[in-house]
Amino acid sequence: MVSGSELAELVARQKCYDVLTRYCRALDRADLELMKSVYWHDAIDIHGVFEGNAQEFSAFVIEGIQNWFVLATHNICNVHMEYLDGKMYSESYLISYCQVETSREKVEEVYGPTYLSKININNSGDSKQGFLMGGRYLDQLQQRNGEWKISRREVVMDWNENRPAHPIFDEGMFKSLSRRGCYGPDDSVYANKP
Amino acid sequence: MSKVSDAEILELLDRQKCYDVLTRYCRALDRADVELMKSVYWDDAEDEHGVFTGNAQEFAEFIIREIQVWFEVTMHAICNIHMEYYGDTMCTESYLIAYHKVKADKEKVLAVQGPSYWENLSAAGLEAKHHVFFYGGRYIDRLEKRDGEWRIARRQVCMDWNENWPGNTILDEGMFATLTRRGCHGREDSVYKNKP
Repeated sequence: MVSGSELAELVARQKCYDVLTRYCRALDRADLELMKSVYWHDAIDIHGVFEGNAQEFSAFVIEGIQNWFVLATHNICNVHMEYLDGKMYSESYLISYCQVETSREKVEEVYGPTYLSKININNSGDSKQGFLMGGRYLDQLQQRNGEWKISRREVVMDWNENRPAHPIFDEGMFKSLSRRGCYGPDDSVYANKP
Repeated sequence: MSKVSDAEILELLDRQKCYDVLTRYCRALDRADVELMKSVYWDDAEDEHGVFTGNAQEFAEFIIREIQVWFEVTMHAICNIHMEYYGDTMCTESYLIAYHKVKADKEKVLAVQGPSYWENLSAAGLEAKHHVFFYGGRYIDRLEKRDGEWRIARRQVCMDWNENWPGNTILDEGMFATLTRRGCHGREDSVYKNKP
C-alpha cells in the first residue's frame, strides 16, 4: 500500500519538474514574466554571468539572451531529485545549444578575445558561430502556500564546444520544416491550448 | 503536509501515460516500427510535421518508409517535457535533440542537405562518404484521453537549430570496436528482447 507521504512526494516531484521545464521555456522564448514565476521573490541565482537576487537575474538574462544569441535552446535531461525535510534538492543535467552572430563585438563578448583568431571565418561557409554547453543546474526548491518555486539556483559548467555553425534552413529537407522557433509570443508553443 | 487528493493522483497518472506516448513515438521512429507509431496517434490525429502535413496515420506510413530511404541512423532524444493539464486534454512541449546520419549517396545528401551545403564542402575539400546532422527542435502536441487511453491528437514540429557536418563515425577501431551492440531499424534491435 502506498502511504500518504509517498504520494505527497510524488506530487511534489512532479510540480518541481514542471518548474524546471518552465524555466527553459521562459529563457528560450525570452519570456520575462514566465521566468520570474519560477523563482521566489527572495531567491538567489548564482549563475556566473550574474549572482544575486533571482528576480533581478530574470530581467538581466532575458534582455541579455536576445542580445547575445540568435537562438538559444536549453535542454534538461536527467533530473535527480532528493526530497529532504519538505524541500527539494535537484540536479538537472543541461545540454544547451546557442548561436552567435559573427560580428567581432558579439563573438568577443561571448567567446572572449582569442576565439576569432583561431577560426577561419572565410572557410566556415557561414556567418554564425554555434556552441554546445553541458552543465548542471543545482537547485533548491521550496513550497510556500502550496506552490513550489526555486529558492536557490547554482549553475555548474562541465564542458563546452565552440565551432562555426553550419545550419541549413532554406534548402533540402530542412526547407519543408517551416515552423521555426523564435523569441516572444509568436512562437507556436503559446498557441498550444485546448 | 496536506493530503493528496484523488484529482492530484489522477493527474500524475495522466502525465505519466502521456510521457509514455511521447517516448514510444521516438522508439517507433528510430526502429522504423510502423505499428508502434500508429499506436501513438488517434485515427483522426493531425501531424503538421513540415515534411508531411495531414492525417497522422498516413504520416506514420510515410515517415517510416522515408526514414529508411534517407537515413542510415536516426536518434530522436527528447529532453525536457513541459505538460499543461486540462483534464482530458494535455498540451505538451517536448524538447528534441536528434542525430541523423544520411545514407552514403551524394544524391541523398543533396536532397536532404541541399546543394549549397555540398558546394561549400567541395570548395573546402571536405566531401565525405557520410554526412550527418544534429537537429534541435520541439514537439508541440495536444494529447487527448478517450475511453481512458491517451494518444496524440495533434502534433506540430518546430525547428530551432541544425548543424551539418561530414560524418566521422568510428565503429571498428579503438574503444568503439568493443561497443558491439548496435542499434538498427526493425525487430532485430535489442530493445525488443528487453522483457522479463
